[in-house]
Amino acid sequence: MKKLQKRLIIILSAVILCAIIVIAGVKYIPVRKLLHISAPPEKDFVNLKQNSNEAPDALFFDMEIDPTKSQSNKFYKGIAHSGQYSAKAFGKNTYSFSVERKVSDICKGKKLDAVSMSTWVYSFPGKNEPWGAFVFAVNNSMGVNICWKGIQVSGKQVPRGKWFKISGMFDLSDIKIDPSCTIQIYFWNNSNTDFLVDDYYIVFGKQQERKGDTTITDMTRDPVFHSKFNTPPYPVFYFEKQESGNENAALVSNQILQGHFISSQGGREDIFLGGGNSPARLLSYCSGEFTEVKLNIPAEISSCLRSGNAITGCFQNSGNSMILFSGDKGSFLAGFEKSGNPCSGKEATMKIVWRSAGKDPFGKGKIVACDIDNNRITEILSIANDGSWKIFRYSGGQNGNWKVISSSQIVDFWNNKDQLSVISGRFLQKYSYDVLLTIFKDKGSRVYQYSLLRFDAASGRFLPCFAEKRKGFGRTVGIDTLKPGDIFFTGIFDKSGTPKVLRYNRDWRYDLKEIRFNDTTFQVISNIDFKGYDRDHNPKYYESLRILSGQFLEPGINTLFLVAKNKKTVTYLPDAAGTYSWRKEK
Amino acid sequence: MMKNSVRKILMAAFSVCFVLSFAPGCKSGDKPKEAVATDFIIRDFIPLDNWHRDSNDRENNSKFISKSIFLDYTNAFEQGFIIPTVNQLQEGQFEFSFLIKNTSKTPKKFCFKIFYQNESYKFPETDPADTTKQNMYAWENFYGSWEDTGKTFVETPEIPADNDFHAVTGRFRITGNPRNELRYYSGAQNDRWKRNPRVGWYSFMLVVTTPANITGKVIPDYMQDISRVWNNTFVNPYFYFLHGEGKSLQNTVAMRSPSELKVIAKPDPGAGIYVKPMFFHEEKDKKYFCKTCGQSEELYKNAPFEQFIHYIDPTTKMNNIPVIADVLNEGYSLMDYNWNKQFYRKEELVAVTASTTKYPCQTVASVPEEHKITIKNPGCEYGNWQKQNVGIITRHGLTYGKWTVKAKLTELLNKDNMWNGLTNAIWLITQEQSEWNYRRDCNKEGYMANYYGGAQDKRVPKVGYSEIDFEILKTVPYCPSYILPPAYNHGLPDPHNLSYWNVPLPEEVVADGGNIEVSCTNWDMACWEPQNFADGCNTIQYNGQTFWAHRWDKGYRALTEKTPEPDDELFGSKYYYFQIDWRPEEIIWRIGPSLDRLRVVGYLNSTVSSIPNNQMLLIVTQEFHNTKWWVGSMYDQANIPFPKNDIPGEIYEVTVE
Repeated sequence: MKKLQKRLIIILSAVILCAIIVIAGVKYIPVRKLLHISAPPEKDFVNLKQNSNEAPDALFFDMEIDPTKSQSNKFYKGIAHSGQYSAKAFGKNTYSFSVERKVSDICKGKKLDAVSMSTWVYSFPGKNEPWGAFVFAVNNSMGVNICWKGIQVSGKQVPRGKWFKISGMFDLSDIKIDPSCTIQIYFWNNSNTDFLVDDYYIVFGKQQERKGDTTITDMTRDPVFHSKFNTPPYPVFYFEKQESGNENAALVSNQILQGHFISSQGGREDIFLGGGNSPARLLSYCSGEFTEVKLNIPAEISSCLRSGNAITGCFQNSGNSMILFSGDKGSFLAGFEKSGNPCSGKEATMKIVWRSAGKDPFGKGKIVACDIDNNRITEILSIANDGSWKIFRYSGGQNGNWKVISSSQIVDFWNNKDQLSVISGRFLQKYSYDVLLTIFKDKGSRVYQYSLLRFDAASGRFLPCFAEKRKGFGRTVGIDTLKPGDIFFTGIFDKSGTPKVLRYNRDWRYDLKEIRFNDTTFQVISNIDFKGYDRDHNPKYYESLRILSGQFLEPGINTLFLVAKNKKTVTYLPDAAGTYSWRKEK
Repeated sequence: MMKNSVRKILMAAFSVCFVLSFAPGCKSGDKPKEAVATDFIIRDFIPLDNWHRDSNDRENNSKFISKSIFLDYTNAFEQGFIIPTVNQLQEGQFEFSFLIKNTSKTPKKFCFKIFYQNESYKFPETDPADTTKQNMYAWENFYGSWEDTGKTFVETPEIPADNDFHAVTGRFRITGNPRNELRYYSGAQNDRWKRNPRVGWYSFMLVVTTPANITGKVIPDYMQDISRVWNNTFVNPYFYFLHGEGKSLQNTVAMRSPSELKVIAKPDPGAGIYVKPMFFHEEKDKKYFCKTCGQSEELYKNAPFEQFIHYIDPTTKMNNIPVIADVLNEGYSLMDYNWNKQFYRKEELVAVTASTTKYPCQTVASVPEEHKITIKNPGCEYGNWQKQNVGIITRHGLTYGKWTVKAKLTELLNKDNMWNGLTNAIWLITQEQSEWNYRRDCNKEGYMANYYGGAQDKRVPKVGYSEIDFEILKTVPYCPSYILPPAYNHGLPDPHNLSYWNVPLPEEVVADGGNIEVSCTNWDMACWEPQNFADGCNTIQYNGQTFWAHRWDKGYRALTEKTPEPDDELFGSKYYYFQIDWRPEEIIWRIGPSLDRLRVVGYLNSTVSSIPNNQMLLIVTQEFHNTKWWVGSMYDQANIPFPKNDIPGEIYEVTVE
């Protein structure tokens, strides 16, 4: 054979081989499948807001497009699962509208470990068997495909001429996906049957693990539960909703105060609503519902209600509650003139009985209203940042004034703390007067500490209630830690007459617990939940829950007055206020 | 047994029936036929001469009608079912009769043998490809003859050659292990209960021949004595005499009676619940024992049910929310579920598995006055968190049958369509996994050796495990595969953003809100022998209905079909019927409000799944499943509260026919 013939044969063979490789490649290698598909700009969508779904880590595309935009030819008008438009994937090896995102934009620092997605599909009737896939693909920063997953729709059983939903979830935890990668989501038609797709819904990430370290109670190891001190789970006690009416007046107020404003000390407490854009109101529980008492309030007070801080207390020996307002322009003390029976329908008039002459006498530190000496008159404890303190008592009368009845050296617990809260209340049964619960965090420390202090009138000092060997610090046992932001309620909540202490924390979730202080620590007695609310409107579900505790419904027995709100109006969970009483049953 | 005189009365009765052949009970076509041999003629074969309950269980003295009998549970636990028992017929045996005319020229004795066969649950006797050959599974059919298999053919007295018919009678009864197979023996004891008579219709075949055919082995030993095998297999006499060599034997006739016997099992739920000592033997365990529930000798012998004690797989441990609630009655909502799902810390959870009772008879009761069984998942309280399964199991194994349960089991969903975590299950399970109860060999790769484990586990040719289920719970369908799982958004535990934690369920899940999934499963132990064995989602047709059958992978031991059905209808009504129609080559699952309004909700056959052929028991339970068993479920069992109150269920009737 001549050389030329040999060459020709070799060249011919090479050409044939190349042709075979190309044909086989086209047929068997999913080149198109891995191709980068350019997406139309999402700004062409009409419902951009709706498309950013409210639920977290999710995208939603309803395919409603502005028909004047350049990419509108990728969409089909007239057959849609929702609205008017759907995305087209017509003909073999075609692609619908594609969602593209950088991983860093969708994961916000978290690992992209899973994706769940769904879409509605419409397969046109015809003789050809449909074959399509809803695709999730990831390309790295070089544009190389590193992940391709698809929810396949194929076969004779695929519904034709009607919308049906497809969905799936892909675990991506085995795939290294950098924040710089790009994800694409689209529908790929690999058949001669035309497809429409609508309403993409894409959720990124797996379900988050619960907070916390490990489950403590294991009934599989020991079927007999041995309750351990301050170890959850705790029993649950309930407050049950009472029919009291008109509580929703509290929804528009940002200043809610309680006290015996017009009722006598032995009667029910009133609720004074101020602030916000509505006028001040006073609610008193009469004949099974809260009744609004007509008010006559000086304009000065009304304006102060909107901007200033207010503390209530029985600052005089009249037994009636008064309000100490403090604002930019100084302080003043106001109270209602006695009107007798709050349910009489008579107008109640508020009067200012004391006004600061310029400078606030209490200083700029922390102010706590408390009855430190069991004389049933509320004093004002003023704590300066350096831990020094003064106790003021109002002298009463027409020309009354605040007098310092005690002051002394620095209390270490109050000195120069990073965070500090001082709450007065009947935290210890053995003392019939208010003691001061101090919760703080030292600067540079991550640990919250607390102490209980009582005022010793004889020595004029605050003394720790906890054992001296712990230097007055209370112990924290278990995972429940008292925080400066905690709100405490003390009082008698049921007919047993036993005082209770409730602690409300809202650092994370709603967390109301009954606790009990002893000589060294506090014990968690129970979780508190609610019953009797409308539908599933449990107060604890609201984004904001304000709790007041007072003798609103029955003299001598505390009930909770709850004001539950969400930032936005939610039809299935409307803002609500209500009263809840302790329920005997667990 | 032979009575020489002509049974004129018998003839008269026959004549009356013949005349009234269009009347109820005397089916048209029941006209007696004659079977003619060279030396004799046979007619008027009446297989159940002394049993007078017609197929509707009414007293009826007609001779040529089909009849019925209920299985007598008295002492059946130890000795197996006997049809009939002495409680049903004083003599404890059926009497059969036939007329024979000697057409030879000399008086002669003849030989005869009666055979019975369960017709409802059998394989055809002939090979579908070659009707001259026995179907490879026909030996499995439940057939028998005299209880003593050594008693071959029985001789008649001498029949005169007088051109007249002479009556011949005999007796027989139907018992378990009719071939007296050693497989069902324990030592020297024939445990007939290990192969109990099947329920359904029985046919009767009379074979008459000449003594020469017996002594000369023209009729072979394996046909004279059905306990014997030929070529390592039993030969079904119905095949042999009606289709095989026996069909053309000289001077041999096989007459099959048109009258049949319907056998029904109907264990009385009010007849007591036995408690197995293997689970409970200490005195403290017995504090709830009573006359109708416990371990008495009487209950041991006669109770048709036992309390079912679930096997608890320790790997199903879950960390449950510490909430105790009455989901069904306290308005527990999706928002409650979502909050509880997001806002409990790990430390607050309670690690549990589903549990079983500590005190038998505390959660099950047999009520004789109302012929019912009550069960309850007990409510719990703080410190005693439990999700306790409860149920009952029958004690008498059966192979095949139309198993129908009339029950009011607990509702599963509340008015907000929230699930209480329970699965109502009506299921069949192997009576024992011992050798005697092995399933038919799997001839392609074998069965998975154990019912638990992974796809790569050991395979074996024989296995004793079988299970056929109704499992009814709140979950999602598996098929077609492009719908699983729904795209859930699990939300985030952000209490200050309601829409982050209170995420709605996908619309298709919401749309199906009031429905529960009726899951119908056959545990075929991943035997690859069925010609269309497959994994994934595949359709199967039955009477114009299409069912999607799902198997996770080829090593997965069960094939499941799911049908959504309204919870309110199945469990909110006074009662509902659930039926597993287990046949040799198919399984049909039906449900309905009454027996005449059952609808098919599941169908499988032997082309896609190995149908079990061993003895099974019926279980009715209300049980807490770990939802990892139910991929794609919208609710996680661990996020469903512990039950606050008892959750009752009632079982009114169990029938197998």
